Amino acid sequence: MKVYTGGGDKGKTSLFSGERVPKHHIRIEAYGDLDELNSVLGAVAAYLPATEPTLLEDFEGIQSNLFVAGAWLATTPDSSAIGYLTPLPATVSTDLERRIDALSEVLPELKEFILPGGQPVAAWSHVARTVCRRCERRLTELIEASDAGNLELAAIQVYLNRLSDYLFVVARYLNQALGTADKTWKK
Amino acid sequence: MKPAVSSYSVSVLSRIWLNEETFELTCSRPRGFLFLAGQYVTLELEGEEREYTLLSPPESPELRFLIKQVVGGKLSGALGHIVPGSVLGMSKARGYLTFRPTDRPVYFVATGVGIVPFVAMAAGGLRGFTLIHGSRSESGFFYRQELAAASLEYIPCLSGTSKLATGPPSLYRGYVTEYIRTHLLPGTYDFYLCGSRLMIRDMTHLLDQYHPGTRIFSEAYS
Repeated sequence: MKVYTGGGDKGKTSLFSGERVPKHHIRIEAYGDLDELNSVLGAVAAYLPATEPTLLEDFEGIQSNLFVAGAWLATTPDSSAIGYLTPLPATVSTDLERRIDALSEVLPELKEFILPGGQPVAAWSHVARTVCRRCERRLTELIEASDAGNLELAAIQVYLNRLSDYLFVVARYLNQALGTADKTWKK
Repeated sequence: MKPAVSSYSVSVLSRIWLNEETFELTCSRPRGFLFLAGQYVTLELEGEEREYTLLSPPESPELRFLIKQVVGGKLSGALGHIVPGSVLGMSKARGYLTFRPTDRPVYFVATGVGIVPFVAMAAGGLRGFTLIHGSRSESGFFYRQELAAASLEYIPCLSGTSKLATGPPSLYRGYVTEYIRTHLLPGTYDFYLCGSRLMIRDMTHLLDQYHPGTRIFSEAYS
């Protein structure tokens, strides 16, 4: 099947539910940012040291979950196309919480703000975290504008909130694992 | 050679030529293989792979494909000579050109072998749609009678310059896009497009311009 048709050359694109919308439509912005997050996660995963296979497994699972989430964002809530979508697994957010707790156990307690950075892989994780926060902002905007009461989008909102925290902890964890201490904010 | 993506093995049961370059290939249906009308699989033979949409409806005991021999196409060329009993690799079904129930008028538009998903949907019992099929030759209007019987209206659009063998008055001379531009009444519709990417591009732009609010689902073959 052809990847390109040129149907979007005049600035519109099709949602999964078939509606034609401008490419700056709030729904496109929302799943476009999710796509960006997924790509940045791919960059983090590419930099992960071979000594961290569990983190790589985490990232691959998260990237798959973001595909599922993207399909929900690309579909209008009253569409019959909803029937083709699968919900996010019920435990995705609590699974992340368990991983946050496990990674945090080996980290020193955080008492001050830290500067995003350190090892390249950790710095990328901070970038992923900030993109994830933008995804959250877009999603709340979308929910407020047109998808209030959509339970699946509410679940995705929780997942993104938890994912941002996870990426923060991953950045600190990787810096420590690679021998770089947190740099605190000097006021 | 590309890596094989096959999840299943299927046996070739028969091949029927529908015109000088297109044939229908019937294969066994492996246990556990599920699909929706409009979805496609990757077929593989000796390391060569290509995607084909299922022609048969989801409840069919056998799997049928409509295959056009492409100039220089290694797999379509080999399948044109394959003998019954040969084994092909086949992936799981994929794709989203599947029917979404709606209260809007539904138009299916295809060029060439892009007709396949709509044949599968009609064979599976779907009714209430208008079908517009473009072909460069009259022999390319595959499954014409079945599709005419299943659809509210079936419009074959002959875009080539060949003379008609039978000259039926119901045949429109021109591109599918011309037909839509000159015949479609104002309104919002659900359009399903399958076939050449140029048709999909032009039809999409036309619908965006003259029928805003219309939903479009599409898949490009070539």
